[in-house]
This record gives sequence, C-alpha cells and structure tokens, in this order.
Amino acid sequence: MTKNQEPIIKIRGISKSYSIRHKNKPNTHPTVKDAFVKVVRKPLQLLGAAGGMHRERFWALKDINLDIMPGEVVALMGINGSGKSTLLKILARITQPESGEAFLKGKMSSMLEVGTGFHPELTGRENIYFNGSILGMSKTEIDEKFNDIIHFSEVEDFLDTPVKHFSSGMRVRLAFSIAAHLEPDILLIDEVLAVGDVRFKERSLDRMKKVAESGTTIVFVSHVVSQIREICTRGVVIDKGKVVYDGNLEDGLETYLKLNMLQETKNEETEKNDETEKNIVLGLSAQNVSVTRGKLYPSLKFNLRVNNYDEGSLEDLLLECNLINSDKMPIARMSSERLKGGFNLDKGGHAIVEFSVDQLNLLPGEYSINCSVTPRFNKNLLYGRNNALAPVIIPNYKAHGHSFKTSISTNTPSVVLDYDLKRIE
Amino acid sequence: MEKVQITHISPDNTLALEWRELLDNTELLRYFIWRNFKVRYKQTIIGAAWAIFKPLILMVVFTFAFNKVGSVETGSETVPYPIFAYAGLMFWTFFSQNINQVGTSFVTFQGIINKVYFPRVILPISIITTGIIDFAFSLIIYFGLMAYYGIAPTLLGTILFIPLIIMTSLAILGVGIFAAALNVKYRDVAQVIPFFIQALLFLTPVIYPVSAVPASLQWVLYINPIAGVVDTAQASLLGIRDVQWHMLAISVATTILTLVVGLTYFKAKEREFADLI
Repeated sequence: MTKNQEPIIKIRGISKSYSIRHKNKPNTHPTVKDAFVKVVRKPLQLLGAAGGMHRERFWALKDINLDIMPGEVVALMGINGSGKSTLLKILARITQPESGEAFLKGKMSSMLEVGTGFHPELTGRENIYFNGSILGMSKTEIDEKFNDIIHFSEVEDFLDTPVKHFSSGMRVRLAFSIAAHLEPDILLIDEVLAVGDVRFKERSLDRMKKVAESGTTIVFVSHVVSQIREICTRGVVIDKGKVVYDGNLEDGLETYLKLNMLQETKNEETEKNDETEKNIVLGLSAQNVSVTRGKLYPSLKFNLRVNNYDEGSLEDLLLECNLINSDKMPIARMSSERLKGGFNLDKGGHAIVEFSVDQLNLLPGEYSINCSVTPRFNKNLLYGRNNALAPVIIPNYKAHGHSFKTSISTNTPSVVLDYDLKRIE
Repeated sequence: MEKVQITHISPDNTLALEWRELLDNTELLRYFIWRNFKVRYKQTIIGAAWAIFKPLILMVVFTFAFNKVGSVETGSETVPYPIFAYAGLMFWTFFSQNINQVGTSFVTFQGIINKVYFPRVILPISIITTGIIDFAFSLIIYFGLMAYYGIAPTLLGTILFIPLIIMTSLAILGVGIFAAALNVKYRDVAQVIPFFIQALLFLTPVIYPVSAVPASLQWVLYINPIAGVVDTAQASLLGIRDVQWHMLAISVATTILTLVVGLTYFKAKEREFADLI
C-alpha cells in the first residue's frame, strides 16, 4: 500500500433526519384521508387555530465524515438506533442522504440480508440466477461461480427443487453462498454472517475472511464481537448519529462496549422510573468489570449493585449469576450462597457484591452474564436480568503449552468455576 | 488502465429519469421479466394458456350479454360481434391486468427495494414486458377467429399494430407508475385501482363501438388513452370504419401527459421509497 493512495470510500458531511410525530399514534401508512386532513389543517395551523400534530426532527445521522482506504475492513459499531444501519443503507444507495455526499470507487455490492428476492416457487437454480443478478453479478459471472456456490451451500441434490421445499437451514445456506461469491471492490455487510448451524457459521466467517484477504474493502455492521475481531482491521463507533470513535479495532470495541453498558444502565434507570406501574422493587447494575491476563487463565472481576427501591426492607436474599456461552447455554454458576446466609436490603438501601474469578478456565470467546435475585429459601424470582453485564470477552491465550483461540463453533462445556465473592457495601 | 466506476451519492432533487442507468441494467431487467413470467404460471395447471383463456372467456360472456341479450351491434355489416369484442379485449386485458400489477409493484417488491439498490423503474417495465408476452399468446385466438370468420388482415391494421401495443404500454407505465408511487405512501390506492379499472371498462369502446356514442360526445371518450387504442384497433384491424385520426390524437396526447406526470411524480417520490415502505 502506498501512502498517497486515494480513499476508496469518501464520506463528506452526510446527514439524514426523520420527522417523528408526537401525540398521534404512530402511523406509518397514512391514508388519503390523512393527507386531506393535513392539507385542510395546514392553513389552520398557520393561523394558530388548531393544535394538530406535533413533529420533531430526529437526526439519524449528523455530519458524518469518513475516509476508507482500499482493502480496509471496517467494523461499524454502535448500539441500536445509533444510525449505523442508516449509514450503510445510504452507502448501498437504498435510501438517500438529506445533505452531504459520498464517493464510492469501483463496484459495490451490499449484503443487507441474505436471499433478497428469493421466491419460494422457483427452484434453487433459478433463485441463484435471480438473486445473483440482483446482487450485481452478470450471467457469465454466475455461470462461472455456479459450481462453487452450490458446493459451498451443500444443496447440490436439491438444485431443481422449488425453494419452498427447502429446510430453513438449506435456504439460508444457499442464500449466503450466493452473496459470499460476489467479488465487488466494496462490500457492505449488515449482520448476515450469523446464519445456519454452528459449522456453517464458521465456514461463512472463514469465507468472509478470505474475501477480506483478497483485497475487497468491507464495511461490516455487527454486534457479535468475536466476528468483528475475526475479520475487521479498523473500528468506527457511531453514537446518536455521530462518529464518536475512529481508529484501531480494539479501542473501538472498548468504546462500543462502554456505550453498550451505559445503555443497559439507562434501561435500568427507566425501569426504576416505571417502578409504580411495573411493581419492580429491585434494580441491578454492574460496575468495574475487568478481564485481566492471569497466571495461566485470564481473571474476571466485577461488582454487582442491587438497589432496593421498595418501601419495605427485604431479608435473606440470594444473588446468582449465570455465565452464558455463545450458544445461549448456561455453563457456569456463581451464587451468593457462599456468603454466610442470605443478605438483607434495607428500605431504599443497596448492596454491592464483588465477584472475582482468579482463573477463568473458559475457552476464548464471548460470554454474557444473567443475574437474578431470589429469596434464599423459596427461589421466587424477585429480579432477573439477562445480559446484566456487557459481554465478557476472553481473548486468545496460551495455557499448558497450548494456544487457545476464539472459535465460534466452540460449544463450551459446563464448568465449575472457582470464584470468590464478598459484600463490599 | 480500465476506467474505474465512481458512484456519487448525494441528495437527488432532480426530476429527470436516469435512462442511462436503466440501459446499464438491461440484464437485470431480463432477469426480472424471466422471474415474473416463471412465478406467474408456477403451480397452475394450464400455465401460460391463461393468457389466452382470459380474453376468450370474456369475449364469450360479452357476446352473450351484450350482443345476444343487449342487442349491441358492431356498427358494421361484415364484422361479427365476437371478433369485434375480442380485438378490443386483447388490448383491454393487457391494459387492465398490468395497471393493477404495476400499481402495486413497489409494495409487492418491498422486500427487494428495502435491501438492494437497482433503478426502481425496472419493476414496472419488467411487468409490462411480461404483459406483452401474454398479449402475444392471446393473438393466437385472434388469428383463429379471423380464419373462422374469413376476415383478411388489413394493411393499415398491420402497420398500426405495433404502435398500438407501444401506446398501450406507455399508458400503463404512466398511469401505473403514478399509482405505484402513490401506493407506497397511501395504501388505499391498491383498493382503488380495481374499482377504477371496472369503471373505466364502461368508458372504453370494448363492449360497444364508438359509433354508438353521440357524435358530439365522442371526443370525451378519447381522453381515456385506452379508448383510443381499442377504437383504432377495431377500426384498423377489422376495417369496421375509418380510423379517427384527430380523435386518436387526443388519446396520444393524454398518454404522453400521463406518462410525463407519472414518471415525474415517480422520480420525485422514488428517493423516499425505502424510508416509507
């Protein structure tokens, strides 16, 4: 790569806003009547006679500037509603920006979904040709890659069967295989790698890695940290329609995960405000999460804070955490049973429990943590929360002379964790 | 060095269609036509033969209801009612069926519009082209009727035949694309189209000849583009009477007008499709 190389994607001041209606119920498909009412109301509104609806501008994207160089694989990260998908849709030309401009050099293909335009009545072969062509492949290109596509999808025997008779697994495998054989200069991907069974997911990711290595510039939107780590070389974080981080991947991931955690805490606060309605008496938040390199295995430390928003005090409680692997299976449990007896929460009070696992003998990968609070003796759930912490990521490491690497197909077995916990407040 | 294609993305406020882009996508257009055709007749017993049966059945019903019961005549001694009705119905069926399909096309294909970029105008054009193939099938019965009634093709009819198909296609595109763009935002349009078509049938000289309309009011009929097509088809193909050129001009003018209005409205709204669907 030469230094004075021109960017392959140039984004300059891209903004886009939507207007949101208030007071009225969300009405995405207005009728002719609505339009008529609007026309009649407008002059009245100008005269200040009718209250009518109230519109608010919501900036999905605000002044986005980015340069992406040829061959870069950029992870576009952000919490839900941050605007990352809107940006991808603008680059894919599906929707238009309100202001600003972008230049894309070379052939661009987008994989915002797999199997666009698949028709259940058409055969596998017919769908390959139509889908391929809508994704931007020429007939000659599809002819050339046809064998690779069917080989990769493993549906050779069903080529002339209508797709409606395919299992859903076969359908996504075929759909992904077509998209994965595109050879554009720029590829825009929106969370489509997580299709099929575990083995196919791994092959898909390998395939995308190869595409990336072949020099294709990729803009990749995903929430799956392990996938991002696997293929991306640069991280861009978008929050509330603005680029808040642009740089190396690891720092980008950290920025994103922090935002994610903030969002969770916010959700918790909202829950608290709705307390009277939902009768939620407890709140929970995670603090000081850290994963550090240990002697042999990494170690994990975090604090859980339980708030009692209720009027009365609660006694003899149990706090439990479950570690969930990427297949959504609980694999390890940590419980405050270890504290002598249950813990008490005064009215309006809180408890902070520190969990620490010195030797986290899990395989590298992404784990989420679910928490629950129950009375110690009857286990009626008082409070439960999935993904109480931002996902815990265990990096690749070496132990017993082996190197352990992230693998999305790893079905981490249940383990008994050696953990400590103490109430620190 | 190969010329690198540069895509420039910016807010598009122009109203002119990018025909160049359409030309670059002719292969995709072909795939859309091929897919429409395949999908339409999958899981049907007689397949493409439906294209023949629809106008044929209507012709039989019309002959019974309007000619035998209602005593509507063709206005010509030599041309029997069935072939008169069929000549009009070929064009009418082409028009009415495709107006309906084009009018709902952007909503029908929303799954694709939301996920992939391509010149959206490909959708209506592919539907109309599929309609032309159906039209070609319906000609088989027409030739059969000509042979049966011993009516020879006229020179003028042969010359005007293709222009009439083109004019019908353009009318479908104009009215249809306007309805389709409107339907993206206001879904009631899909409900209105069949009603509109039903009403329009009675304002089109398919059932009755134009000569049955008082002479002073005939020009009103020709405001409807398809009325001009149907009347000219009957006049030129069957030689019922002379082609009313000045009246046809009214239909041509309204066709061009609807086409300009339809395409302009479509272009103005196209950029919002993905946000609205």
